[in-house]
Amino acid sequence: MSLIVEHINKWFGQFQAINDLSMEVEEGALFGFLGANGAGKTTTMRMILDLFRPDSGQITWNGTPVREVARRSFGYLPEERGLYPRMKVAEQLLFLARLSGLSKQDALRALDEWLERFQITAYRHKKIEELSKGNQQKVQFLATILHDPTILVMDEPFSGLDPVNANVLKEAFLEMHRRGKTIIFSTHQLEQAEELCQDIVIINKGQSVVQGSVREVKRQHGRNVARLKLDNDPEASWLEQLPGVQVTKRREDYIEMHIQVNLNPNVIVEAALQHGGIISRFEVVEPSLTDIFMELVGTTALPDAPSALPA
Amino acid sequence: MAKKLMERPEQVRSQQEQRAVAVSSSGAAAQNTLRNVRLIIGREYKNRATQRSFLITSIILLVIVFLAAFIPTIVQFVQSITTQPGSQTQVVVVNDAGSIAGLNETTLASYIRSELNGTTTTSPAPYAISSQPQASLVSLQSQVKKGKLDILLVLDRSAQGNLQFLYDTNADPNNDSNLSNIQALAQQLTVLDTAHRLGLTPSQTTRLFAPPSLTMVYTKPGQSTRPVSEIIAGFVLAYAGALLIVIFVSVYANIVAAGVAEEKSSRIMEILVNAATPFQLLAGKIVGIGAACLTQMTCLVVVGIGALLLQTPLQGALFGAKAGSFIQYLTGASIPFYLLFLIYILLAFFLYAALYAGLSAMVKRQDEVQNATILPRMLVTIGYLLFFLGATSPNAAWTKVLSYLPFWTPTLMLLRIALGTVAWWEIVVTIALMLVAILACTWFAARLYRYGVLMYGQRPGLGQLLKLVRMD
Repeated sequence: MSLIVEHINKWFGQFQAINDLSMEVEEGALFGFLGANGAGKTTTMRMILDLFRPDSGQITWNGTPVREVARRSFGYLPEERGLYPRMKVAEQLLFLARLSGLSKQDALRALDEWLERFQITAYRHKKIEELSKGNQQKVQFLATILHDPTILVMDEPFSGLDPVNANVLKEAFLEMHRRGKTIIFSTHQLEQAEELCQDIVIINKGQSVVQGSVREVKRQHGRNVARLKLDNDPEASWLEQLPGVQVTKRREDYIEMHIQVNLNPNVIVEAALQHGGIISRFEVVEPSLTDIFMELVGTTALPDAPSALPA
Repeated sequence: MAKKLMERPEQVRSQQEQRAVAVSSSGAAAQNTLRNVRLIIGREYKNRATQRSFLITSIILLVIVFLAAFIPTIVQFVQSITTQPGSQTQVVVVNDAGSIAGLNETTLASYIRSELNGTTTTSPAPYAISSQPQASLVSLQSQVKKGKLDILLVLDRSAQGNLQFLYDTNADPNNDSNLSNIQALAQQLTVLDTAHRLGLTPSQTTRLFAPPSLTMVYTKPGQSTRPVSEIIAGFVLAYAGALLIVIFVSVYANIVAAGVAEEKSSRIMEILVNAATPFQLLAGKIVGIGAACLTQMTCLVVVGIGALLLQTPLQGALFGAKAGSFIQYLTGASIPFYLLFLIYILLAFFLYAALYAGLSAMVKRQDEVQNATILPRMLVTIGYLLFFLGATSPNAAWTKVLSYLPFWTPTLMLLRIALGTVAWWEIVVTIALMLVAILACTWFAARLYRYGVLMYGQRPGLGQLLKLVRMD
């Protein structure tokens, strides 16, 4: 049972927003939808929700086209947060839940449970515009899940949150996952995607660039990365001369470098000791999604770049 | 370098959303139409009715309407205090013509007095007549100039012996209410005098003056012989009705439009459109807000009528009993008139509200709503103007034809019902036409809504608009 997107295309006038995109989201998976701004994430999400239809191709959930799937099965957290500013929290959530098909009692019960879980019961009768941004996000999140949908489509759910609130939301997120919901979310925080997701897809200019489980993606596209910090030699310019090693990043807390596949990382330690360095940090790191992302997407994501990806 | 890599989200997003995209209207969300519409109506009604600005406006309007009903009474009261008792128009007659049909000084004066005052029973009489000799002519003329004397009337004879009149007054030539009376008087005296000089006896002169016997038979079919007072009452009611319709539609359809734009600017649409179809949202909004507005207007009308009804006993207490004027107006028209008024005002509201809402869905911000809704507003204004143009000829062909056009049916039909003759089937036909128009406009608006709802960028031109509407 899964959500299958098959060869969808979407044109807006002359502009092709989505180009032969296919992906599969297994039921109950935490699926990361990654891409630059304007890559087509929001458009794809809206098509999954049947807000509008693709020009060709189809999207099915368990074999049923999404347009025939009950609205109640979907929960949508849009990128642009939107709630009626002058409506009270409880009223608004009830309204939205009932609109999605929940009965009044069920909606009230779910509302009580979640308000308490998020610890915002005190705000029940406050207007949305009176809440802080973090609390508004929580209410927005509740609007997405209150009617107990099967599939959650979330566009950048954690953006703009301070760490405390982000954590609250993350816990709720994982709770949804534990309850067996299928969650598709997009984010720019790739570390978070690494932390949370099982499967990901990176799209760029409407096309799928890479797809699969996080581990596979890293294995296929990543390179070994090492990080070194020397207390007495911040520059460590001798690293440049080391064969098979390419310095990629110099930060305050470490120097990052790519190592060739067949090279034993110990070589770096030996060289450091040879140069009399005091090592305060050395680690071999799994390739990060950020690096993979930048490499795959990088400059081709900018508007002036040619729209077709190199073969 | 860093700046180049960071694309501004706003720019990219607006590029994306400038391309028109239609929200699908069929599909699973359409199944719950009735339920969803009910929910949305409830929300819209509550939202509007509890909005502080709405409540404050309602209260202010109520107070204004209540006070306004007292204005005629107040004006009358003030008049009765400031008008001096016994203000008459003083007329001085200088007779140089000798005897006029046997009338001389005193009898001439009393004749003039009875002619000018006519049959009015008010006391004091409007005109007071006195005679002065020819010698005082110059001083009398200067008195008129200084404003101490209202009217100086000098009678003398021409070389041929015909009567001549000189009417000297300091009244404003554009606003002289006495002129027609004086002219009539001059006419009377001349005829009398000529008859006398021709040698007619008084009884013969009387026969000369006898009014003709003229019987009027109007053969135009369907002409009810209505007294003038009833026609006037009808016009007043029809005018009140038309005015209410125009105000109601202009103000409240505008509120609907503003509500639609407000939703767009708060981006709640993105979620709503997932749970309900654009048509459900549109219908819910129109009916919900319409109901709130109807509530406000009903309160205003009730208070207004109540206050006006209060005037009669109030005036009775202040000025002494008089004929109750307002109740006459109300009961003068029959129940069907009020029923039709209610039907037409509701139909007009739905028709225009659909248009307003659809057009308003295309704008980006609330201040653009006025621009977008120019067309329907013009139609409303034209409807109002047509009411007055048609008032003089409620049964003319063009009035009839135009009253069938759904946009102008309400005002024109009210006019025709009150002042002209309307067959019952015409009413049925116009209502049916309006219903059809409402359906058409709602369909059109729903289509616009589908596109506008997710559109935050540029507005397509009229040609593009029509193309969009026809797309699926």
